[in-house]
Amino acid sequence: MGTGRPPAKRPPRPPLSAPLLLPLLCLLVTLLAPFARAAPSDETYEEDLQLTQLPDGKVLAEFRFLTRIGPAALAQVKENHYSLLPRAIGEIVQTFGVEELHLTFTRGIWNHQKWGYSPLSAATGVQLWTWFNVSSVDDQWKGLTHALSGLYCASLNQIDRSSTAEPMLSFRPEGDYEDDAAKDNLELRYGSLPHEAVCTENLTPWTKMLPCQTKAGIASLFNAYRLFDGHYHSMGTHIRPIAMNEGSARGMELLQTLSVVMNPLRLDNRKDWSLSTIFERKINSACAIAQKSDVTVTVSGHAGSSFNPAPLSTTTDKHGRMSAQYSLGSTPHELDVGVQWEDSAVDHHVNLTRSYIHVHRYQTGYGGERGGLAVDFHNRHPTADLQITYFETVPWYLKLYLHTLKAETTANASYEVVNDLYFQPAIDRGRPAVLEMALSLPANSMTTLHIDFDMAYIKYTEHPPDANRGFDIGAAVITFKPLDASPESSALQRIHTQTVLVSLPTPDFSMPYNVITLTCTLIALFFGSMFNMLTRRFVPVEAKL
Amino acid sequence: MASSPHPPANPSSPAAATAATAAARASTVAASLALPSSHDPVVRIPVWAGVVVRVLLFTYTDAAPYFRNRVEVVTPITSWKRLQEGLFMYRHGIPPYEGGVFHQAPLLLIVFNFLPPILIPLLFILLDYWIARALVAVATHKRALQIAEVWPPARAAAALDAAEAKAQEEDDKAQALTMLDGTRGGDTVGKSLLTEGGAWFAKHAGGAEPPVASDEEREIDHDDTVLASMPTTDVPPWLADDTDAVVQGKPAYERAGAPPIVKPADPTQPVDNVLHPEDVGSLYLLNPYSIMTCLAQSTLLFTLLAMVAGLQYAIAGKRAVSMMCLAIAAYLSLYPVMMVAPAVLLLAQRRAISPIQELKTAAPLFLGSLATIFGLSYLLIGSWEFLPSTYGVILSVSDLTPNIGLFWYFFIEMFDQFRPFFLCVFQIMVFVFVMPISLVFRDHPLFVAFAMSAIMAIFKPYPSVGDTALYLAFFAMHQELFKYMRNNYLVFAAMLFATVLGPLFHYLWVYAGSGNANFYFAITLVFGLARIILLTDTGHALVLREWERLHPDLRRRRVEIVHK
Repeated sequence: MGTGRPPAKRPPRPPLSAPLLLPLLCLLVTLLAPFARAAPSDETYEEDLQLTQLPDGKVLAEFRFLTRIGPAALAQVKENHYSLLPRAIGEIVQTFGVEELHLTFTRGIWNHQKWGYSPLSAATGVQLWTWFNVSSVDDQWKGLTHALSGLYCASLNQIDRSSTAEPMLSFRPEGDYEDDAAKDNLELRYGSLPHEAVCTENLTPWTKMLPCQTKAGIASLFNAYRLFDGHYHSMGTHIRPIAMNEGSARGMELLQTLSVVMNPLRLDNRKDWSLSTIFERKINSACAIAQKSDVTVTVSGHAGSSFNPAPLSTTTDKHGRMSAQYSLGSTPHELDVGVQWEDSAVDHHVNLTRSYIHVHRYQTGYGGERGGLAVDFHNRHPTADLQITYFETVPWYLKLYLHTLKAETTANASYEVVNDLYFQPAIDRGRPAVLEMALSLPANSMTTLHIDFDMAYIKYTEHPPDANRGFDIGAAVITFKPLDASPESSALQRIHTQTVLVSLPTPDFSMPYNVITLTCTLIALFFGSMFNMLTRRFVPVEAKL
Repeated sequence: MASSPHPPANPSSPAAATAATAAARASTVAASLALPSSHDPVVRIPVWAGVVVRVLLFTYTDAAPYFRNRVEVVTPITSWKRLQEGLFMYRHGIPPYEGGVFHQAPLLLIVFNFLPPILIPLLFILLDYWIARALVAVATHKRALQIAEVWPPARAAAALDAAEAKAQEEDDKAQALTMLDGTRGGDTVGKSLLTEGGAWFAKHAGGAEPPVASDEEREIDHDDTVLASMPTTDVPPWLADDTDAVVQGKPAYERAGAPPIVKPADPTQPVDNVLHPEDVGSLYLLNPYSIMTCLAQSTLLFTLLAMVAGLQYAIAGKRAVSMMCLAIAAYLSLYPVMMVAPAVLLLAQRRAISPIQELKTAAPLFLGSLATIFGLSYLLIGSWEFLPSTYGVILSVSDLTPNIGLFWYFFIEMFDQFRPFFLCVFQIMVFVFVMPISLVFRDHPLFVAFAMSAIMAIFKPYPSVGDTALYLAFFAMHQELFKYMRNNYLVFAAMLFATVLGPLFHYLWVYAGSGNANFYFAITLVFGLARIILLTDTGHALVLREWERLHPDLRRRRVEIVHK
């Protein structure tokens, strides 16, 4: 009582009322629930880290956090009882009738020419596509984007009607459904934000969805300074229904992925790398909840590399790549896996043969009035014609002229490249133009698509604050069946093109008042002179003598 | 042009009086070129010269694709490229009005759907030539009116006060709506002088007796009257084009290809060049603005043709055809609905009935035609979704592509909360002067047509230089007003200035990046200003000229403008 203030003068503490107590109690019960009784048996959590030395020497780290919720646990979720499934996710799925959700935050571009294909590659910026099982899809979509916007601290709410598309060919539901009819009843919405700057503020809420957050397990490697220092960074949240053991009842799978491409050479000027050199962190312990916690290191399989520490086992796949497996025990021990090279000279044998399809998209023309979009499709396969689906959303302020769409191929002039075309014209401020094509790329050829557009002149309030930077046009999506996939497999490979930066003509943003006054002056001049002309009469001047 | 409204008044050749088919017209034109009168100091350019220029430019230059992309020449609602896109979508089963690209009328799709591509430039040249021929027909009427115009001679000083009082009284009466009755005249000279049309009809129609003759008969009748009223003997031999004609007592313009200079005996009257109708057509076709519009294959030409043809048929007294043409024009781009006013005035003048009475018959015809066209469009498209995509875009100005008008930058820069207000103000602005102009200048329907075309060219949301070309063609018909105008040099200097600097400033803004939007905006303001001054100056000139005509004893007095 050093202040000498009499206790009587303290503001009275509000009594703990019953309405306040109840949630507290509930919270306590919820927190203790996993410990009080075992998690329902049909909930599992696995985590997996794959480190791959890419052909050009960069290191790709792919984190996968897989939560499977069985039907029983899903039923409890409906009663607001959550255990492994994050409550935020569960509420969103229930409120908006989401059947499947795919959301990725990406910085940089996945270089599929050098790095091959990755299932985790995504379009630059934010990409979101969702299958709904409700009728009023547009309202739900709007609610969903706003909810996700709040959840991930991203500007997802800017995916409005004017940037939402409904692809017809490129996307299929990826989960397990009872039958095809159930798939056909779903409604798809696709939106992207190519200009979104993905940063730690998006990573932090994303890691909070993990059961162990970044305290333990492979997620303890998340060092935001290093993650966002890479050449490519992409984190994704994927929700889909899955078939569990119990017959027709469906469970839910929540897959959180993070892939990052680092350059050990740039980080510490050596070919050798380990977790501590690329993340400046080590794995201290496994996540206690994880039923499986694996680390795999893969190198492109030429001599001179060794795994450190020694792996549990090593395998070699059919492409000659060598993989080393590690497992995180439940007991705490430090793990710092890496690859050491006998030869310190930098010489990575870049092998491009595994990625046959390369796509390059760019803008043609000059000036701020009109231009064109061109896409080059390379099929490097020596013998096989490849079937792909091309999907593109173009915002309404680029007015596409479908009659100018041309497809030319170097292989054979008479080759029919375009098999199927779906075009939805844009509506000003209403919806984007959607162009979706089924293309057949002849072997060993380059095919070029070209379409003209006019740039719209938009209101000064519709320009972003950095108007002269221009507008990003989201990446196009190319979907195809991998060459080595079995015929009955439904696995699809997606690659994404570059975003295109289009600079629209800008008005002078400091001019509103001047324009209003000048134009109104002219109008007033007209009105005044006309009024004068119509109402006044001539009289002779009286002679003044 | 199955029947020329005033064949004897057509001075180009005697052939025009007998044969009036298009072929005959062409030969007429050829004749006037081949045989220029030795007395005519002016080099007369035939109408078809403009056609030759177009054919050459289409065939041997790349001007057509260049102008197809110029913001001054094409607008979102007339662009050939957008029409092609609409056509492509229509042919491929995509609803053309679903997107935000195509904003043109559905029936245009039909026109071009069945037209072989090779004929498309020919069609646009033909449209322009047709517009020019229709303008020639309108100008022929204007010429007849000009010739028939009566300038009362200066009276004795004693009679001055009484005459002035009477004229003033008539002036006052003219202000009143109740004076819309066009059948006045024939009672007193003073009354009939108020309106050249009234005077003209009164002379031959025998006062208030309604005309019973058929159109053709009346035309001839009129023209005889016109000829009779010509002050032929007033032409001094040294001013006449053909001295023989003077000797024979025939008007000079009928013998030679050149218009006479009417030199009145009364020195207080102005000396006017009689309008040469073919010149109006040539001026239109050789106007760079109209050449650019034709090369750009702007669908505006359909609108212009429908408008001018509407006036032409109104002059010929063909009410139903006239209203149908104007309905087509209004259907194509909405604003030509204003042209109903001069057409009704012309029809009323033709039939010597009051405009209100005429409107009672014409309006249902117009609305019926419009409804029919909309019905056809509905059958073609299968839904009404073309309405928001065409008229909605015109009225709400949702496409802000720069043009030579006043809307685009204003609504780019407008604060969102005031946008609807100013949109309403600007759209009302276009229509607000239709009624006052039609009332004040009801005796000059062609001037009303000129004013309407000017207002459209200046104040519609998507104007192009093609509108200005029509405006200038109507302006050329009023050459008797030139000498009363004060700002011609300013206007035409500003127009030239804007025409040259507009593309430059647009380039600096959009391509070079060394200028900004204000440059181009300033130039459109200058262009707008020039056209506004031209319109109001012409109006003032007409008012002044009419005042001088009707106040014979005050013609040499200085006048001042008062607000009464």
